[in-house]
Amino acid sequence: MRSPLVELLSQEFVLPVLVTAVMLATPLLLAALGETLSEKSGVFNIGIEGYMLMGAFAAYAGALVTRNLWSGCLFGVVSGLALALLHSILCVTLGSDQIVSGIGINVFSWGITSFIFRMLQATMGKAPMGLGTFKPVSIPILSDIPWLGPAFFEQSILTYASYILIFIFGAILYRTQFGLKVRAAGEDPLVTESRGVNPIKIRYVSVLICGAIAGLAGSFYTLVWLSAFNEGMTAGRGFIVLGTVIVSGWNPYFTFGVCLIFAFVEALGLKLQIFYPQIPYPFMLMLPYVITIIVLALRRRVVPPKNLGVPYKRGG
Amino acid sequence: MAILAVLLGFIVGAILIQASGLNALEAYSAMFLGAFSTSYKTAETLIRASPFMLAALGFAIGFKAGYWNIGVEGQLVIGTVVALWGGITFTYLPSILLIPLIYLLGFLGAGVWSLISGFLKAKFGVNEILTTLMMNYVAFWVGHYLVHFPWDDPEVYVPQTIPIAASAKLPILVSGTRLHAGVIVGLVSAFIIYMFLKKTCLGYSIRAVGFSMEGARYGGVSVFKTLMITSFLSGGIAGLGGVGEVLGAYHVILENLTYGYGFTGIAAAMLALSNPLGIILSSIFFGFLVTGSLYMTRGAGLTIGAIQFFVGIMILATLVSPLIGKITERKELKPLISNESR
Amino acid sequence: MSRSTQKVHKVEMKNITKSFPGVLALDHVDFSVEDGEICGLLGENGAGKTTLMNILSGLHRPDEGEIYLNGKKVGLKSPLDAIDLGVGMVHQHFMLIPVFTVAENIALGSGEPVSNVEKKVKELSVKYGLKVDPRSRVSQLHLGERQRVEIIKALYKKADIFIFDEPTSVLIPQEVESLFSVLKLFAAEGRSIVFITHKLNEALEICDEITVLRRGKLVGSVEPENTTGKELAAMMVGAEFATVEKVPHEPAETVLEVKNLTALRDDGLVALKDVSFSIRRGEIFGIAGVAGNGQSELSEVLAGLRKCVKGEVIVNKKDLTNTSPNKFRQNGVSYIPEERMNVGLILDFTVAENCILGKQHDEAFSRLGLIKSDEVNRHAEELVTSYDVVTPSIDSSTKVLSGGNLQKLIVARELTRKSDLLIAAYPLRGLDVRATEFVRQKLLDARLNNVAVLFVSEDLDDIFDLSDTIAVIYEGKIMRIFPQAKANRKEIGLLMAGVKEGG
Repeated sequence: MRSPLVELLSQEFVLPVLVTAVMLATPLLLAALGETLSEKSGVFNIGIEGYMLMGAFAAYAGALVTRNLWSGCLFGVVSGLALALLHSILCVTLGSDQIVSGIGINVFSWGITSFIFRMLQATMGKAPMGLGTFKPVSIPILSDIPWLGPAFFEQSILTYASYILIFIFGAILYRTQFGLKVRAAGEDPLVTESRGVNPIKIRYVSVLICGAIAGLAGSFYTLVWLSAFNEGMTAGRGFIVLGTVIVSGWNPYFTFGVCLIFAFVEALGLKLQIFYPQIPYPFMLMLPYVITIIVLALRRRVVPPKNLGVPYKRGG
Repeated sequence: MAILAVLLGFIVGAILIQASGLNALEAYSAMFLGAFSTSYKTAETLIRASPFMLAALGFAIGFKAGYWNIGVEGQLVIGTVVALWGGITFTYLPSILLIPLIYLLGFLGAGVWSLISGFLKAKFGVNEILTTLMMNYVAFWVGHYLVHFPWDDPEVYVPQTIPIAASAKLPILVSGTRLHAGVIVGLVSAFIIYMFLKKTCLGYSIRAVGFSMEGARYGGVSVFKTLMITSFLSGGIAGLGGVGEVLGAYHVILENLTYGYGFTGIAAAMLALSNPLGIILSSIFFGFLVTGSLYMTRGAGLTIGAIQFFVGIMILATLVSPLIGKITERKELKPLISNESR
Repeated sequence: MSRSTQKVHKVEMKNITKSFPGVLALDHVDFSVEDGEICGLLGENGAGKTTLMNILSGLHRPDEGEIYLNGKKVGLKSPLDAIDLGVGMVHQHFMLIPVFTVAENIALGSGEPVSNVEKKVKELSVKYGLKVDPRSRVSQLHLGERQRVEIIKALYKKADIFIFDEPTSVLIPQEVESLFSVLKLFAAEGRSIVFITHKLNEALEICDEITVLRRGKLVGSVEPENTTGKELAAMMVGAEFATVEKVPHEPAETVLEVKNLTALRDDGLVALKDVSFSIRRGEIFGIAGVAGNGQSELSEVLAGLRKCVKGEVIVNKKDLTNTSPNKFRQNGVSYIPEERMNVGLILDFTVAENCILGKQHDEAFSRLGLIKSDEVNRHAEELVTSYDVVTPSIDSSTKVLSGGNLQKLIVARELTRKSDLLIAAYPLRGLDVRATEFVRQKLLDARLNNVAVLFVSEDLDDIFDLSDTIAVIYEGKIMRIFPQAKANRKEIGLLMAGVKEGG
């Protein structure tokens, strides 16, 4: 019998955790990229939890209805987009409080997904199983790297998409005119307007992109992780995403690392449940949330976009 | 203005209900009957309203200081947890001592839980929205653990804790109903908080910080101390709601006992513009919504979780109605603002 | 006045009139600038210089009057219109995004990639001697460099008419020299420059023509060769002496002692340099100076709302340096702050609640943590009646009060507490005639009641009418302190503008 520590560090233990971690990091990463863009332009999306949950449910239902996983994804994207549009109208155009709007959207999403799900159950007798999942695809050569290979390169297509999106978002934010305008709108919409750029339009676009990609992130849960829907299955991960955005300093490149850390904690918790059933599972499951608080408390010297959360009226 | 919000909410809700294939009018009338048609049902409405009221009051007091306590959901859970613990530990005390003691412990426990986020904000400027949200989930799992493990009642099939001692149960106010004394706690708290905010120095400081931190500083208020105290009070009050549920309504903790109550409370607070007296009315309104909707459809097994979407619509409706209100407000203010420059 | 008789001016503003609620900012003012001319616009605070140029740069629209650019009449609907027509304004408060680099700020809205902009900025910077690194972050640049960025921003948009609003207020002497060389370069290229300032020496040094405004009216235009600093100062402040209605009063013992006070501004630059003075009971100590020379920071330090890095503040022989606002209040200091709306008052509170702001823990108004509403209401009624504050009721939100009444409320509150020292920062700013008279009288009453008063104002008339002693502040330093009887308006005007002796 090996000592528990060696046991913990062995490949049989760590590798599956790593693989799970990268898997679970994917939705966090996708949503975080979108939220980073939105917050850089000055809009807070507390409702991102709702975007993700709606996305999860819409993807599940859509896949069942169309009998196609890809269109399920599309349903997820569109549902997130719709909620984000509501948020933009309320907050960007009408200047309402972004936090209240986000809470309203979340509560609404929790409710309506449960409502429709139960009606489905009622009409069909039991909860219909999802269509299936995106199976992991192995990337040749790269997946043969010891340790890192199987972890990063034997994942679903959604995960590979997220890798690419890191660089796309990074490029957009720091190398394009649009990105410049986004950052300007979040820092000082008055100065932005004085340069002839419309901060309202910019904010709309960023929020909508955020909603779309968060909806996609949600679809991960029903199309990759599980092949079913559970009420409230996003379990606050949208809020954790808000935390990752702050901790990574609103930088899309750092976001991957941060999301990976959070996902690792969650994956570790899941694995430890099996290895150490003596510790009651709720304590494992609360780990990601506790970690979020600790990390937020430590990472204090972050500087948000100056006008984050502040509604702006044209004409200053 | 609140009436506008309610109307708006009902209209949107009606649209969604029709869309799902049910008749909205039928549904709404079933809801109203379900909530008020018998004294038993009215009692149920009030019982539901009680934790909403306390959660709303907790949120409102934080809001007055500019502190977003979205953790009321978790603080309610902590309230239930402490209440149960008190109810199974101090069984030797008579009711007259035990009940107030448990209420006090619940207040302290939930208050300290909330203070963690409050401290992080006051001292380090950590965003309280995120920390309180996270604490909700931690509280949820703490509660889950306690229900399934140490306090699990082996004799009952459903996950449920062992019951509290009889001496801890709150007296019933109206025979034939479940209307327990905890409802009074809610009403009394609303009045106390209303008075507190208006008439005490601390209430003054809290409102000052909420309206203008600079003005508060000028007036000699310690922003740090005020935030700490506010987060503590905010959490403690919400916790009282959880205590009432355990001591009065259920006498055990069921899984997901208070699920969604916190956010419903927040909605009630928003609807009432964080005015404690208005909160009494808006919480009863939400009590009506929830109790009524349980009777609304043909018993499709809807839970409070499902009714949440209505609550969500209400919250969003409260955002829209002030804008309509602002237009009329501006017309009234014009004659008062003279031609002087500021 | 001699002007070259050019038919078509580069810029011609005719008959410009503009009023804001309660104030006539510009009264039928004419102004013109020629090609390649540096035209100075001189005047005190409130003279209307910035307003006039805000109109030229498209920010405001005049109530009356016309603007002609190169002979063509133009209607400027927004700053973007003006920019398109070649007007570039370099404001006092820069329109820059601190976290962006210089190039990013200029690239914003230009449609060009940042790398292109970096190259062009470098070229412009070299050509005009405006040393700026396009890749540096604006937040790391000090104010002089940021100003250069604003200039390049305007150059980038091909500005032909430059407006500088008090540009040297943020520059050290060497930077002022560089700026002047740049201006001469621009002028040589045929560009026109309007140079708004209150500093006489600089106007005399750099301008080809100087136009003086006073209280919204055009006083006249002169050429530097044909005038002196003294004459300009007279034009700016008016040569008449205002009659003083003060009752003679002997000041008693010293209440406030300030020793070697050094304090910083919010952006880290020095606001006060080694300031020392003292004020006695029954004395009104006036601080004269153009706004922005450290007066705001001084008031805040003396009320406990700002920390100083060096020096001492001693009130009634007690060292109160760097203690809390509460401590200052407890030791008899009352404060009428510069910012009425969300420091001196909490707008969302009712009139009654604002009447006890700062006094809420006093024995008179609270007991065991409970507010004695009857006492508070009585006090509020008293204040409102005796100070003639116009309000629907003491329970109305102060949001509905006009500016004058807000100030009267603050004055009422601060003057009716038993205090030994009253700090009044710009108490008369923006008030109409009646409110001004009222507050002036109250300050004089305080003096008769043996309160020591620190009175900060930009208006020399007020300083002269009310003060027993006058100190002039310039760039954070006290230039000179003299008793009012020995003070001379022209001399004070010069000191305010930074001119020490002669001129």
